[in-house]
Amino acid sequence: MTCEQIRHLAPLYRTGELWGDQRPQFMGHLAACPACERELSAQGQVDDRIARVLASEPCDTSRIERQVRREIYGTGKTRWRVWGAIAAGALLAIAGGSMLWRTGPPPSWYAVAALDHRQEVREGHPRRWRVEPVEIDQVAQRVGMSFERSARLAAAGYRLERAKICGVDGLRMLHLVFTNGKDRYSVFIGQHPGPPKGVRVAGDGSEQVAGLQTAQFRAAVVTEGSPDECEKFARVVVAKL
Amino acid sequence: MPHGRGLLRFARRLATDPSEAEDLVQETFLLAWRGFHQLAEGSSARAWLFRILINAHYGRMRKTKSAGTVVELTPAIRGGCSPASEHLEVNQALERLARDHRSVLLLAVVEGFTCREIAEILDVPMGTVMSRLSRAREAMREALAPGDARDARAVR
Repeated sequence: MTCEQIRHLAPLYRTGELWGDQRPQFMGHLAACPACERELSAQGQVDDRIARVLASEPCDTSRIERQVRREIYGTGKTRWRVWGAIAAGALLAIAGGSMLWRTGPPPSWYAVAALDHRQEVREGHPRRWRVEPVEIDQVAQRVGMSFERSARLAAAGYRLERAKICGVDGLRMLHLVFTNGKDRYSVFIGQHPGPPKGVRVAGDGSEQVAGLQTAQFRAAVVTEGSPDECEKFARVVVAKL
Repeated sequence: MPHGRGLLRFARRLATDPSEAEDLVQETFLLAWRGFHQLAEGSSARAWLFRILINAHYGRMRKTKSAGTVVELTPAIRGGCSPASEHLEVNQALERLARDHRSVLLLAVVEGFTCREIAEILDVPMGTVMSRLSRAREAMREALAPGDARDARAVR
């Protein structure tokens, strides 16, 4: 190798990208050429100095992280607004004499499921959805479900369109989307053994959430329709889950 | 926040002030979140994030019609640096580099990307990365030589 070739290949040497015979030839030239060896050594010292100076700079990303989380997950004020809206909906339903509500506010994961449906189904934010039966089966297995079992949860006139795994308040859940070609609704299912509980519906004005608990699963149906329709879809899930 | 520190460090050298650098990193994570499906399996998420950041920066420059202007780094960097002379010398020397050269140098030397990864991040040929890296190193070496450093301090 010539000194000119050494200068040309020096960036690859520094980043460990010399391949094949290049590396032994490169090293051989350095061993025999004090000028090139000094040149590379000096470059290395400058590199080290730059890296040391920049790496020592304080880099507090906490404010950015808070902003990003607020934008993505609706934590803080946004999530509180959803939660507050659900709580307000509960109060209105109770005040109106609705028998859909049991005592106390709905659990917080209702709000998370509603927000996921809004962003991922209604607003269409891009996600890695699985649409092929084989792929859906793979993700469904992660919560003890299968493609066939998931597809059976469809209400009359609807079919399973897509699926993905998500986290809802710390619980891994299978997010299924069913469609009749015009409307869509979501079903969230996660492994969560516990005493079975009946369907409970809550709404924030735009989404209705019907939560339920079987012996093995926690599940929720999220629709953009009426509370009655949401509860009807949830009854299908209870019957077939 | 994964890779947040590296992204912020890099953004400080692209942006004109500390808040713009933070906005750029925030925009990067939001764009990444929305476009997560575009990240090919097995590819480097870190390199992908840097590419998003650079594209976001170019997008902002186009909007403000500031493309081709000299970026004043000092205000952004002062936001996060100690006043030690070594910091000033290195940052002044970085500031004098052409923007394209500075980006390549920082990605290689500070963030530890390979030339191939940098070529993908910046969407330029690998030969271009190698030549920019060589020129940037040479310029930094000259700027940080003891004589130049004294000159820089005298000017300041």
